[in-house]
Amino acid sequence: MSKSDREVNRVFGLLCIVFNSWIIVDHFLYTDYLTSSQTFLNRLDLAIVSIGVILLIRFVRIFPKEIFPLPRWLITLADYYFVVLSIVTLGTPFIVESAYQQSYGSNFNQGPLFYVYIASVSLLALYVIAILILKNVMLRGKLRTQNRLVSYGIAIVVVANLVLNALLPLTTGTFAYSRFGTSSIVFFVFLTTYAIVTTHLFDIRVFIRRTIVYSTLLLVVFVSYSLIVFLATSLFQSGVEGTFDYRTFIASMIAALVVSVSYDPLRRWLQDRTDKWLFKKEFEQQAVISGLGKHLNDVIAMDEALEIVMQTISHVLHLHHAVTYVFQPAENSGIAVKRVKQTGYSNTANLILDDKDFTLSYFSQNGQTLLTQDLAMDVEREKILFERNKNKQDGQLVREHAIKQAVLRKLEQLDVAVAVPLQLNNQPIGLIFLSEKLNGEGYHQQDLALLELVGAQAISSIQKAKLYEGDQMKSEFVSIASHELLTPVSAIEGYLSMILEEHIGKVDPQAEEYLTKVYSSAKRLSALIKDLLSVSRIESGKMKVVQQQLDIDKAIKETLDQLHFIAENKKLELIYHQPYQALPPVWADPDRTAQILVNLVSNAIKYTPSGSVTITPKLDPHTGMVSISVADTGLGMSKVAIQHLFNKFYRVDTPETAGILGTGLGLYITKSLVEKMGGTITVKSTEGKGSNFTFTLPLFKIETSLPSA
Amino acid sequence: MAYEGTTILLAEDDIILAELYTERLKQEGFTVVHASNGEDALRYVGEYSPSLIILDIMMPRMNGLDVLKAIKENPETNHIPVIIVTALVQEIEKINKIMNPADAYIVKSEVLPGEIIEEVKKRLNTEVPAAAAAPSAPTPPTPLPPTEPLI
Repeated sequence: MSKSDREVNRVFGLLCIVFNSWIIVDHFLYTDYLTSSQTFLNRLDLAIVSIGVILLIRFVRIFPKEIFPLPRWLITLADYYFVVLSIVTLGTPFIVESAYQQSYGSNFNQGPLFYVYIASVSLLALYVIAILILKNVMLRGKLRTQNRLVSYGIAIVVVANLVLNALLPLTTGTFAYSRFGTSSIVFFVFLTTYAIVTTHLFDIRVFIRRTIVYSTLLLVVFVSYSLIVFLATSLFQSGVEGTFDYRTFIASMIAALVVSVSYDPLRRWLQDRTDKWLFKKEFEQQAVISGLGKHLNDVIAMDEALEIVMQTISHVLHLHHAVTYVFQPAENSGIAVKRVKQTGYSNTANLILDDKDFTLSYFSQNGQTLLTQDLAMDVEREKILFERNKNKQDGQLVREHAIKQAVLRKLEQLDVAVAVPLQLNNQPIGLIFLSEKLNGEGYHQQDLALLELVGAQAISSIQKAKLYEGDQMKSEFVSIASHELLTPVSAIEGYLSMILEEHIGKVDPQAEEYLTKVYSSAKRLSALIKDLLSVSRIESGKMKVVQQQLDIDKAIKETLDQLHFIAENKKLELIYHQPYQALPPVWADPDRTAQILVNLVSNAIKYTPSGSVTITPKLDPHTGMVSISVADTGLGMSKVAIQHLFNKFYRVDTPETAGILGTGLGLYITKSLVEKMGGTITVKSTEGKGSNFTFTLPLFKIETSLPSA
Repeated sequence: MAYEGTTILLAEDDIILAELYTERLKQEGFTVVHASNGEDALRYVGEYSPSLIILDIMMPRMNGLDVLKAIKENPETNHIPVIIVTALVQEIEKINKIMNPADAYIVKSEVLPGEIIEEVKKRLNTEVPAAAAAPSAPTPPTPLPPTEPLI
């Protein structure tokens, strides 16, 4: 709901309350059991009218939309004038001097400023009529219909009261017919209700609620007030009509006290009652929204999310069909449909919106929920306008009109009653089309409010799905790119190994030295690509770990076989502390376990200039795990380094490590793999003395293999 | 040379890599038939009756996995040892199901030409049990563990 809509609702609500107060006060005025407060009631009556008039002006100015804005100061001045006028009316004898009893009810002696009051109110009432007439001429389409209905109601009230309360008393001197003035409000109520029902003007229940709450409150206030005053005055055996005495004053004070104490609890109770009665459907809708939110939380795939959104809308509003479009950016900063999801359509061929469809550009510029009937009226109105001024046509307007027509045709073709554009930061991200309801009812204000909320939910789930898809695409890209990179690197490595390792072909010693460097760079490159591939697999959840019964002793021996040459080259001792008792099998993926062992042992060799690397497997019967430690007598690390050790691309940077090559991914991959198999990895290190990496693997149990068997 | 007249079918779509393997194999005395896509590879199996097949997985027209299936389903060719040389490791489970003990699986980026030659020689020297001599209960395929960790 826009800001101006809220303003209209607020003013209209206040107006309803004032009208009701007026009716209630008038009623007391023309029934004679409240004789002692007649002067007060007469003054109150006139004060309410002056407040009513200023609200009325405010309302007709902004409803259905403001077309001739007045300067702010003028509005404020008028407001103040009438507030002062109503205070003067209520609190001084300048306008109503004193009241007396007539055959038809109460009347009053006019104060010296009475005519100022009548003139002010009448003048403004005439101004109201003038605005209404002007608006009727200037407004078009649905706004005109709304305005006409409401303004007839207001006009009847204003004219009737001008005649009965100002013209007749001034000419004939009698207020005998004033009491019919309030009855004219019936017309206003009737016509406004009609307008609300037929043109979904505003949420009528809000006004019913406010009117009921505050009218009842007012009624209670008056009844309790008069009861207390009546009791008090009869108790004191006093009460000269229309005159002031301290006993009436004390009684009024007591009444005021009682009323003010009971006011708020009473108001809350009434509000609660009316809410339950009027907003039952709204409560149901709130439940729907929160249910939808919870449901969508569990869903990542876009198709599934859209399905849920549309099923929910169709179910709650009872629709024939619905369709959701999800957009993606297209050429020339336009948009294209990325995905279409529908429910209830039998013919889906029409649902396709191609990139050049005006519907896309229209809804990417107009973010408001649109009723097809409103668009139809708009198009009709413009058509008439163009026919009137055939000669001087604005090209831009003609273009916009043509677009609207095209959009309307599409909406009618798809049998769409409401279009809900989905926008995020003014960027179009999607569009929901909804059909008429199964029971043929129009869309109510509360339905549109519901759609706004559902739309917001749809937007967030579309965004979520898009992010997820983007992530998937990115990891797939890295995966494919890595494979493509590996093939030429394999060829480079292959030829170089033939030259340098198998000594096939003759090479100049100088060239051989260079080629050796090329070879080691190529090896690094291929290691890096493979590490990147592993990281991308791990992060996209595609790293498959197939756990099976595994002999860890054999896995360690294979790793050592593979690496002992490198250790020998560095003159390092590679020690395997084989346990005396054979270890029970572990539950692990053989390839991943080998990868972990190779990573840890080759790291240890890499960072140990002299000494040894020791591998010790151990069974921990309490935890049901086997721990494998890889200890070296190498450089060791600081505590700070250990904290970051398992982060991606982290490398220990000290003068000692300067010449050692690596990708900074190995330990990140190792940790991920260990954890994926249900183990943990820890590290202990002393700078200058060496490091100890220990990882654990779960033991193979009969039960663990059962689910996969 | 020991392998004069032994024909090896090399199915590899990357030309440079194919040249590399061809050259290296020829140095050992093998006769090399090169196919640059899956369809050709399958056709050459019938035409040349190779003693061994080196098969890439990602290939145009017909991928290596389908070629492998076709070779293994045909009783005339299912005895030929196949060395799968691939950059892809995702398909390993599918490949494992089709391969028999005489076959090998090698990740392209992790082996050097010399190592492939070693593998080829090993496969050719392994006694391939004749279909009749095979044990009545089929042994489950247990491919050799790759020499280096797989990604």
